[in-house]
Amino acid sequence: MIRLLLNRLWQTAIVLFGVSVITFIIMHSAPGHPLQANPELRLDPTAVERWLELRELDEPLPAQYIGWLSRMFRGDFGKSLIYNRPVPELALERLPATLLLTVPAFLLALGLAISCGTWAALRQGGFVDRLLGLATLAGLSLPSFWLGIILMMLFSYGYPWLPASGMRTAENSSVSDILAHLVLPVTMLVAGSFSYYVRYVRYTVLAVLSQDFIRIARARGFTELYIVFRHVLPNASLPIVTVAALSLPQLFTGALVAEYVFSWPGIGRWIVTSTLARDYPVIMAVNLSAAALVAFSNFLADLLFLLIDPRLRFKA
Amino acid sequence: MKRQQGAELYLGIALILLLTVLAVFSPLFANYDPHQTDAKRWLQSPGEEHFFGTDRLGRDIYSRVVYGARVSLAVGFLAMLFSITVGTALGALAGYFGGFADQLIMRLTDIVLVYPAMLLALTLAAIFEPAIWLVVLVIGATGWPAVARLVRGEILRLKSLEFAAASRMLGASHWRVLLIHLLPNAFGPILVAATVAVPAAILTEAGLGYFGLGIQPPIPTWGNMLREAQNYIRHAWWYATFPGAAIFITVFAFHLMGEGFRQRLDPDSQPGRGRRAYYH
Amino acid sequence: MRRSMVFVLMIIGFSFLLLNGCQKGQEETNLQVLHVAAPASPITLNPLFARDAGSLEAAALLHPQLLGTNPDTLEVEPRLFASFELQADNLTYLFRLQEGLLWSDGTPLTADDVAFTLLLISHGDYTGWLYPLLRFVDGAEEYRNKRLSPYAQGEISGIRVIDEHTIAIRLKQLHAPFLSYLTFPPLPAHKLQNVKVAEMEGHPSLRNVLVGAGPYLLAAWKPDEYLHVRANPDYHLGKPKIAEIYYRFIPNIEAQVIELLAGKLDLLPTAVKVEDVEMLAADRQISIHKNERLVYDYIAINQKEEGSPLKDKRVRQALAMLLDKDELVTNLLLGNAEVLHGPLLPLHFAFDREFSQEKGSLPAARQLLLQAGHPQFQLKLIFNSGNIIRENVALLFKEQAAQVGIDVQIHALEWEAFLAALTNGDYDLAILGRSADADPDLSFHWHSQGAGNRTGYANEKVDRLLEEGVAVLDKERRSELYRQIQELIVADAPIIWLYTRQAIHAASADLQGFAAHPESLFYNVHLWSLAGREDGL
Repeated sequence: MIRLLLNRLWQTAIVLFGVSVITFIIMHSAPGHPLQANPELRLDPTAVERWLELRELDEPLPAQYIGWLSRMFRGDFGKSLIYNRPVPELALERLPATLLLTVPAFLLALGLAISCGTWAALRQGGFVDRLLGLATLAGLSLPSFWLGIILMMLFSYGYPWLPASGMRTAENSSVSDILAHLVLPVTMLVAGSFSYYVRYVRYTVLAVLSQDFIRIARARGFTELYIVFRHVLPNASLPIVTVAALSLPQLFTGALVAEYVFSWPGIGRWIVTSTLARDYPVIMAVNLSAAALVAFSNFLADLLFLLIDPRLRFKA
Repeated sequence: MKRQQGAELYLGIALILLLTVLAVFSPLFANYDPHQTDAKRWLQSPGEEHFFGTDRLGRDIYSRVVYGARVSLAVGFLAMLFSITVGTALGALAGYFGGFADQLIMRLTDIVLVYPAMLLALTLAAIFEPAIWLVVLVIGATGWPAVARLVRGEILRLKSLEFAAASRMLGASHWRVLLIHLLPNAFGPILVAATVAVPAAILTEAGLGYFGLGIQPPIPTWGNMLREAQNYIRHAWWYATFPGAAIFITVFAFHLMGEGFRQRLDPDSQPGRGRRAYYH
Repeated sequence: MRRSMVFVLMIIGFSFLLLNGCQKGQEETNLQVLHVAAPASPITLNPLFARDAGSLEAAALLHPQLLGTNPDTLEVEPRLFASFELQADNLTYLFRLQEGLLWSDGTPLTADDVAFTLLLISHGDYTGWLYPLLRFVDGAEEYRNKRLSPYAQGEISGIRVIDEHTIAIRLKQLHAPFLSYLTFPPLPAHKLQNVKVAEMEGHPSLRNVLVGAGPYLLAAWKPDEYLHVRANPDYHLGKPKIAEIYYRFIPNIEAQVIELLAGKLDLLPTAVKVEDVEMLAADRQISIHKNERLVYDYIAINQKEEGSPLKDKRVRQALAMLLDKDELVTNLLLGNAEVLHGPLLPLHFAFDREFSQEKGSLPAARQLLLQAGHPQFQLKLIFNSGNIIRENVALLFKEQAAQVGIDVQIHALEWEAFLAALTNGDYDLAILGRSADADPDLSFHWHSQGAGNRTGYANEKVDRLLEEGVAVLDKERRSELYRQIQELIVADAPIIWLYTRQAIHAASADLQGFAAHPESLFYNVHLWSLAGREDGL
């Protein structure tokens, strides 16, 4: 078991190294740098040279990469070239906003998916089930940014009920104000991930329902409600949690789009703008951490699989 | 019940055929030149002249949506072909020969799989001058590992069956066994993967366009149109509505078809095993 | 039945969060608070290192200027420097600071702070953009090259602190626009003299303006959200009337208008869409303000490519004839711009309203192309994607060019890719914007050695006249020289001038005293007030 874990860890390290090399190569494969003479602003060319020099951006690329790697091992993620501040500081500053957006969206999507998915599974082939099947397919087909624009068009402009951008009205940070700002972006996020989860929930619940112990429970005359809460959901919960863990990275990418559409002051907007502005240290740190997050959630899912091999449970 | 499930498949296929006809014969369906600007008729609401209204430059949105189908479908199919070809080839090699090749290929798929696809796309598109081939490459390059893993698994399973060993003993070469005996038997899962890959690619292309990183204007693409439209949501509801609806219907059609295939080939399989689009 | 009820209840339970959001509480509006939309979030509040428009606007709220310029005439006006005079040698300026200036921590703001700031800008490790303005100061160049200390210490021979309130600056030679350069703020020497210049750019005390002397003092800065500032009671031009300002970052212009209409914003600065002007002007709660700016759009022509037809002056002249600029301004900018035919802008004292290019026709352009021996060729035109006006200019240009036998390929590029293409010369034509100086001196873009001369334009006669233009003080004479220079430059057809756009602001009708400067939104912000709000209307 421990050997297995160590082996996984080693493989992850190699994979992350690969990611960092690929990112570095892509980043530097085109000429230019963040301070590239902007024709609409004034820059002093000699000052720009000195600027590059002070940030060691005038060194040959392999030296730059090795410098970056050695700083990484010392826990130094580097300073943003644009903000002149340590990358983790910039990220931590924006993380709360992103969590405020993603956590409710995640819980809401999962909660709705569990209720609807279970309902559909209990009535397999029925009207609700078929309707839900179609609705989830539609949900998966919705371009989320379009949904965001339509929501804004309807509920911020057509019916001016909800704010169209930002996290709060500047001086009013009351709970209701923030909740009002959350509605549209959370709806946009939930629409996508709900459809994704609900299919898994339905599948898993169906698998549990076909088990002998459910039939026995039914035969003993327990109410359906009792069976669902006492037997079905507990048995289905681990596979569902596994899928949810695997989906964490996608939730973050979803947030990235939602933040962009609704000008949410989170980490995603910052990542998009920094990438477009070629803020090298930010791009390196962000890509690597995102890859690490994916690797970690895969790892978590594998652990959960080890704990509950669904095939062993269901097909034996 | 069975009949109705078939209906989904056929509806999907019918829609896709319709869209393909629209894309191939765009000039026949569009009633305006999609590039023709009209400085005096900007942001006109939908009517008899302009079915979907006009954009800020006075271009006919209906005609642009029709032409946009070309780009979307082309990118969708090309990216799918790219990821299926590369994924099948590498997956088959890894699965059949095993050993070092397997190790190498699998580590490579690991790297791409943990690489946040959307960030990779953003980074690539921000650094290189956007063009159709780049968009296809970006989407294809992030899509192949899922296929490679799938094919590798299939090949491993098929290799262990008796007919493969039998043909080897009869003196067939490795390549012959792989190409003639093993791969064709893995056709079903590959087909399902392909039907999932197309809508994902279409959504990704539209998303890149929305971020301004896709195929660049003045080529009409649905994503580009949405990007332009977001600055006029107060002026013109039609500007954002129709291109977005076009994306939705196209992706929905492919999902219907994919779901239909999945249910026919393997009704008990888990849903949506393919790669998700990044934009959810 | 009960089963379904439970699920329905569960769904309602989960939706409760959503519904809750709709019950917005009655919001209390503080009467003396101004909400301004910011299209770009400031990156730094450090005024000497800010390079982007967002940061520079925000910095103007928090920092005072040494000298200002009049918004109408662009003449230099007293600010921190209460008086300035040129000595008899025509080289030395004597500046007197206003009495009783204070930093927000109570320390007096003195000539030493000014000297420190000048040293900092001239230092070899300074990476901001202001140094080229100070290179005319005697000894600045030597100081920069020597880089004796990592700190902004030492001496520049042309700068002498005479007493607490007086500083003398001696130039190497007479330079007429020099005063108009001194519009930057001083920095507090007592806070920063122990910081290495190389570390100054990211230094927290500068970035967060721990000590200021501007009209407003920083209260809070929520990155990517808003900047919150409070009136500075010690501001040297008088305590601002509006107590607090929120400078809210809202990148989406549609969202900006929605918030303005909802009464949550008081001012949408600079970039109100031309399509919105009519609708907003009709609203009695909102007033539209417009002002001219020192910016213009143009089409750059790449002449560096060997064998390119663009090397031929006649071809460039033909290209300049293709667009009907009046039509552009009327249909595209809905009249909110002025057609431009040369590098001098309407705000410049040397501007010549009579000057205009001959209105060319397509046959005349065709004729010129034939004379040049280039009846047919291809050109690559680039612009930054997302700019709808420039996109339209590109499309119109393409249409017109096709009629004289030029095949124009349009490439809309994302900002970074666009910059890369510009830097690498990977284009034939590029639609760009650029800003001009307050002084009509055109050396920055048009002198063969000018720092902003990216196209490689070189004309000996223009160079000589430009040098003459900065070496005389008489306005009449300078005006004459710059008009001559403009004629010469336009005759060479180095770029195609398009138009200079107005800044369009939409403000709440309550906002009084707002009058933006061509170069700065928060000009005289201390005089703004929110009339009518005191009565609780």
